[in-house]
Amino acid sequence: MQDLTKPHIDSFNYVLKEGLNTAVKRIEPLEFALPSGQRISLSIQNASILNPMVPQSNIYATTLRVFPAECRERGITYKGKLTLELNWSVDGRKFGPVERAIGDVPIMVKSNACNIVKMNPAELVQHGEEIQEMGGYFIVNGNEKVLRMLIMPRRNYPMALSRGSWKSRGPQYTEFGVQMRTVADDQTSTNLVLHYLNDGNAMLCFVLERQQFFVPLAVMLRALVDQPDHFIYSELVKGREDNSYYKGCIASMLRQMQEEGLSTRAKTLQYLGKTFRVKLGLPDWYTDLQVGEFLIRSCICIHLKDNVDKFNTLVFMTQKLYALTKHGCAAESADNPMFQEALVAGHLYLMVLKDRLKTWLQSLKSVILKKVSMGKGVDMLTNPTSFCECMRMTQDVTKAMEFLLATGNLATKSTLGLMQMKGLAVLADKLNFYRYISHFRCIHRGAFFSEMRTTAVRRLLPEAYGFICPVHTPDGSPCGLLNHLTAECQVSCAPPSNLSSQLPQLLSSLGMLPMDAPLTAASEYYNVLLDGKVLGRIHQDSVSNVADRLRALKVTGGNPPQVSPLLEIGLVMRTPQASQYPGLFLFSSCARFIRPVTNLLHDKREMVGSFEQVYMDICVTASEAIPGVTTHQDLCETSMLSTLANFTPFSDFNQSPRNMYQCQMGKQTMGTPLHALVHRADNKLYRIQTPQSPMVRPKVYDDYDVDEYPNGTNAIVAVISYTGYDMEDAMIINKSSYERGFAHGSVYKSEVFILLLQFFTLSCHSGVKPGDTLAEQHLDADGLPFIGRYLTSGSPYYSYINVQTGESRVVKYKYDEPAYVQQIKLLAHDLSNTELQKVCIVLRIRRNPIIGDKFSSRHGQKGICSQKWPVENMPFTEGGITPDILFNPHGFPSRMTIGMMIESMAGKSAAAHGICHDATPFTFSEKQPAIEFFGDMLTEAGYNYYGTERLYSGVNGKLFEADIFTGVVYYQRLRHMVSDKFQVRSTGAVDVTTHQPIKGRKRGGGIRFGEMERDALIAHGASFLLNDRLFNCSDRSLAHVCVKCGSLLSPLIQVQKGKKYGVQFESSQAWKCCVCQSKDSVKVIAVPYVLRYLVAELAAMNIKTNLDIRDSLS
Amino acid sequence: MTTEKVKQLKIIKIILFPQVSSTDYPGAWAGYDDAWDMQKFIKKFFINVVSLTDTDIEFDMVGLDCSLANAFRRILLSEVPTMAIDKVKIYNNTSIIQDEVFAHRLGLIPIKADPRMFEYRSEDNEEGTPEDTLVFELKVKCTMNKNATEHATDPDELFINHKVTTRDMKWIPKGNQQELFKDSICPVQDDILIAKLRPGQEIDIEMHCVKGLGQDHAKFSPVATASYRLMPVIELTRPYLGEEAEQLAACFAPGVILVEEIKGQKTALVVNPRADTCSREVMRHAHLKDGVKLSQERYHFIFSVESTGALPPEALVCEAINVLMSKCRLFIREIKENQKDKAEGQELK
Amino acid sequence: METPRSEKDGPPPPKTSAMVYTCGECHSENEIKARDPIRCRECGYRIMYKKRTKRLVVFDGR
Repeated sequence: MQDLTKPHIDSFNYVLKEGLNTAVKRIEPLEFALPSGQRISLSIQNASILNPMVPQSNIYATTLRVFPAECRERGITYKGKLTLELNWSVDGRKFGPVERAIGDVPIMVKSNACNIVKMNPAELVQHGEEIQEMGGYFIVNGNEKVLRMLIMPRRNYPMALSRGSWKSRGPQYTEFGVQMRTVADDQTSTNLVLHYLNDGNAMLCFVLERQQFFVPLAVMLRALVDQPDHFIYSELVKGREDNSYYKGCIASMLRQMQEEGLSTRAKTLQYLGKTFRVKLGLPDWYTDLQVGEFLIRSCICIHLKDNVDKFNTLVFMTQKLYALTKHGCAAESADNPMFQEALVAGHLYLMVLKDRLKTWLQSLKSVILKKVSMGKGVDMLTNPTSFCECMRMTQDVTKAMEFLLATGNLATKSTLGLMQMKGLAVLADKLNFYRYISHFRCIHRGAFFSEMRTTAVRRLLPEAYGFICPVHTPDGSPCGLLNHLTAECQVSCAPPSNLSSQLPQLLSSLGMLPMDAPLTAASEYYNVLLDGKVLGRIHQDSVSNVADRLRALKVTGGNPPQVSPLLEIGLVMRTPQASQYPGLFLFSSCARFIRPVTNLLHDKREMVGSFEQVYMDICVTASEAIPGVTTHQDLCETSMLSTLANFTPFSDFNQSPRNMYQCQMGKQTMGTPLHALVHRADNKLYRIQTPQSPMVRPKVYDDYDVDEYPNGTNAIVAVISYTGYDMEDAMIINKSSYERGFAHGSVYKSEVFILLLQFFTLSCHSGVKPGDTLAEQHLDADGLPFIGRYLTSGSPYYSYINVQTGESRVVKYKYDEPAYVQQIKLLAHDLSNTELQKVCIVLRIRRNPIIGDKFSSRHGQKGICSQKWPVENMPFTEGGITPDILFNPHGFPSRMTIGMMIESMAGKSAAAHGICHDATPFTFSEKQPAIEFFGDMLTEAGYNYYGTERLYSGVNGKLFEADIFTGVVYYQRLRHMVSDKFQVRSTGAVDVTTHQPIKGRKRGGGIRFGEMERDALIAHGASFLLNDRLFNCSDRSLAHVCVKCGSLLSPLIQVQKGKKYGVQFESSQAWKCCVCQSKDSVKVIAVPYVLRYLVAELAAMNIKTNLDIRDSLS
Repeated sequence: MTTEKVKQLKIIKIILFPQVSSTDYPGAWAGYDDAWDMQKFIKKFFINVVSLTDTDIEFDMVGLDCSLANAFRRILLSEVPTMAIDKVKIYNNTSIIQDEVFAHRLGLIPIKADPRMFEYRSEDNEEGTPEDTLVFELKVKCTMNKNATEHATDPDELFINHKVTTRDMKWIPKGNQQELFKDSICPVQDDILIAKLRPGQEIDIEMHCVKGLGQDHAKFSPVATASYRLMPVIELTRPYLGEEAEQLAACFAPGVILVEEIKGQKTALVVNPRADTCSREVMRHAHLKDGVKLSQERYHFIFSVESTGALPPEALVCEAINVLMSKCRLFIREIKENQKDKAEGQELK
Repeated sequence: METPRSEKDGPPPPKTSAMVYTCGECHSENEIKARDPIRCRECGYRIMYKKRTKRLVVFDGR
């Protein structure tokens, strides 16, 4: 179970262990000059994140450590100090490092910086956690937040794409390009696109501070290596010696560059530096050459450090691009999971933190400049103490990091290579166990795609098999975009280890030629790429042997291991027809999707990536294996399903969309969300009182120990159309079952009251004013209700006293639904030295099933409880059993949820024999049908083979003609309850401008009677009803109108001298049309109030409205 | 009408044309008077108690219409009164079980008190009188067991009073209840687990039991279940011999079919159709089903009543009959009054 | 546990009757009067739970 959140926790641990240090080292030193001319350089040497603590100044606490439970209860952030070691230099004189905390950053629960990471279950419970706390989330302002995984293009793989939109990038641009998302070792990424132009030219596009720049490929190549043009040419055409068009293109590109005068590397760098100096904002004393080098360092192939490697990679991209344009290879697709990876929580966190640290350096710079301008000398900077003083005044990183997690929005200058700036964090609401775990397994395609018209991105591709669950995706707008990882899918999280640095050596020993080795027939060689770095070439005769050898080393390990067990070995062979661009692609990087399969050759478990899987022969069951071809086998048939989809019993018998619905409904079930209720302060928690372990359940149910968090009840279900209340999608609950506790539940609501916030000064304290009898009767002396109190709308809730005035204010309970006071928590300040200002009151609301509440089985069969039927009226079986639920048979034919029928039979036989049945999908087959198995079991217990039973009517006592299908089905109660939804109104608030009833349930508004509803009434000829709905019950108003001129606006009240205005309003005598100057022509008519508004608005636009008014009698 | 036909009428044909509506009214059949007649009814009606324990009774009721049988069943379920806890006054409850859930649990505890000795509590009466209310008290406090061994993990050893059961419920006699009932008032079972406590947790509750009907709430229902089934009829229209006989026997519940050696051949005999569960298993076997006729006797009801324990089951059945009788009396009185009114009205005219 | 403050320590805030609260960490009982700082006297923990007192609440057993 702990594996479910592994991608999150591993990635955050990576940040703590090395990511943060790598990132700060990657931050370029901030250099600037003081007005006096001294050159200052600031650089962060080291950074570390400490465990969450309360401030040292809290003298009362026995332990300074803060535990997650406290943060949840007090509504604060679980955060630890971020300390930096800062180096600085003044005119080259080096100072430092000084170490200083610059703020707090949120800490992932159960990461290595978390205080509960090493705790055993008993200690976890002691600290207010669950026994099986999985962690993987942050706590921000008391809420559990998850940084959702996002799908990203696979890093450091040049992808050949054909994109229509690229044509519009400029003249001569074509749809062809090779795109590579380059990711540096600190997880910062930039996109690099090599465009093909119609004139045979190639342009390199890169992003710098949200802006795209295009540089001719030849210029960039020239700027990378200090070799003659001939070398560049020969490298580019290696293996393509017989392609004269390609050679011509290359030659012409190089010639064009020569014409520009860029003949040497230095010249080119100077040229680039001059062009980009303004954009880069580097100090003045940098030469153009330095600026050029900086540009290449920070924008071009940032995953590589060496310029020769960058050159080789660009050459590879060029060759792939030209192959694509001339149909030498097929285009790839960014929607294909083969070319995708995940953006995990830790990496996103690190990217944002790095960005914040950059801004922090900037703010330090401005503090220094400000201090200097205020007359402080440079001595300030040579003294560590005064320098620390500057650091104290800098911007805080705490807020920015909390903002990201609290809102899910990015507030950074750069896009960080992301497609979206919003919705990155989601609340991990603990509605039930299913919903909770799926937050950690979900992976989003990106908000950008949800607005896309095409459905291509939503498509489930065969390449996704085993990595992304085909069942577990919502229907509706996020369908196919919000996916879930399969139960066994992991996200590789080992950043390139020392093993990958040994890899080139190993490959050389296996027959790889290095890049600079002379080749005789270059076209017979395959390029070998490791994480986007061209390592060398292997001859086509030996390449598959090398790949096999590598895989053998990967699987068997060896001592010491030579190849990482997570290495992805994607061998793309040349094919007679153009297909994917060939090469041996090795990936050792993190964030890739990997999943375990059995390697049949070595009979060992192997982690397979989504890129290599396409070129591997994996069978699902042993019977499918083709001798000599199949090399791998899935662990089990269900390994293509997500954790949640695995929980659906007999899902292989159901119509596929029903399984999708169950995945959605499982997440809306009222269940057992947690056990540490006392230590929680969630806004709303739902729980059922009588949960049961399902008698029919798949094996994984036990693997994940879901019995700890059960979600429903085994109910006896008769499939019968009995009363008329059980029409399709409605179901009847036995009143007796309900009265004995069937599906009873409660809602826990937490409310936090902060006195400080209400008055901004410490002027109030909670308490009851002596002598206030009403309050004293309901509240304790501390101004809070006593535990267990029953609150109804309007009863005193809490009270506080204003210190200055001595006045007390009693706040009333405002909700319509009565509640009990479950718990009251007094929340102190971090320093625990203030009086009571913050209280959390947990209310408990009774939510036993009533008519209109929603239930569902585990097969996407939801229904509304339409009646609680008295037990004496319920049908009864031979044995005297009355069903708990009557399910209408019309629910079956169109939905084809055979799984539910089998569950019914299985449940019945399980109950009869006192066992639990395994309901794992794919365990039964045509040869061994489920019906036969359970039918025989039922027969053995004396029941009908087909699960039917002889039923007697409870109303007249007669035997039914037909035998009724009766069994035991596990039922879930969904959280959608009428109590939260019903909306009634007779009179109430109206809109100010239109005088029509307002909308919104919360405000006591009505439900819109719209155009379609109006059409229905018109069609029925129900004119009185129409008049009633749209006029009388809406904005009927009496208005004065002048019959003569037909104006609604001209009648005015004539103000008579000496009389007060208000007195006259009653009598119509005083109304007079100010146009016709007549009193008699003013009549009172009933019009919709909006009409008057419309007339007034029109008049404002100089449009006159005339009403033709006639007496209906004449 | 031949007697053969009459016999057929009394048996529900399951497979072909089920005929379940009663026809015992005048003129239902041409040439055959099937009208209900008291003498005829008395002659053929009988009750046979098959088994009787403290809580369960199984008896046959033969010779009456299903509407009557069903009426008894329905009354048993919902209209025979019992005493159950209805008002729960919680003074303290620091256990983890929520007050209202606790109250609901308490309500479902069957109370051993004869409801016939009590009145219904009137609506406006909040506190109750000794005639209509029984008061129970539940005061439990859990503490650490100081004598527990050092490494004990068993809660039974570690804590005192950590299980609250019905045994802890104490009856508080009011008025003359003590003389009237002696010590007979208590929960039916004394080992029903109500709640679990841990040291420091405390329960202090007063409960009021009132008389009520099952149709109001299931807790007032005097029976765990009360139901009937019709007597199965199994006819063999051809002899089943040898292997077939064994197969046939396996299709029914044990004991229904007896395989006996008759003339040196195994022969299937229907001996106890009562034990059949009506699973119709035999119908799945093509070679067996042709000679078996499954049906049920129409006027033979096998009743089974499980009492919750407040009253013995046989008393419950009598009570149910009493309820029906009083209903009938009420109905007859209504009819008579109605007729009288009508007559008076006509006179006035 | 801290002894209840006596009268002479200063002018008592209105309504001095102290309420008993349980510490969320060490579960010791604390008497906290109005305007006292909120913290456990034993361990300095920052969350206090209000203790249930004997008050009558009537429920329907259904």
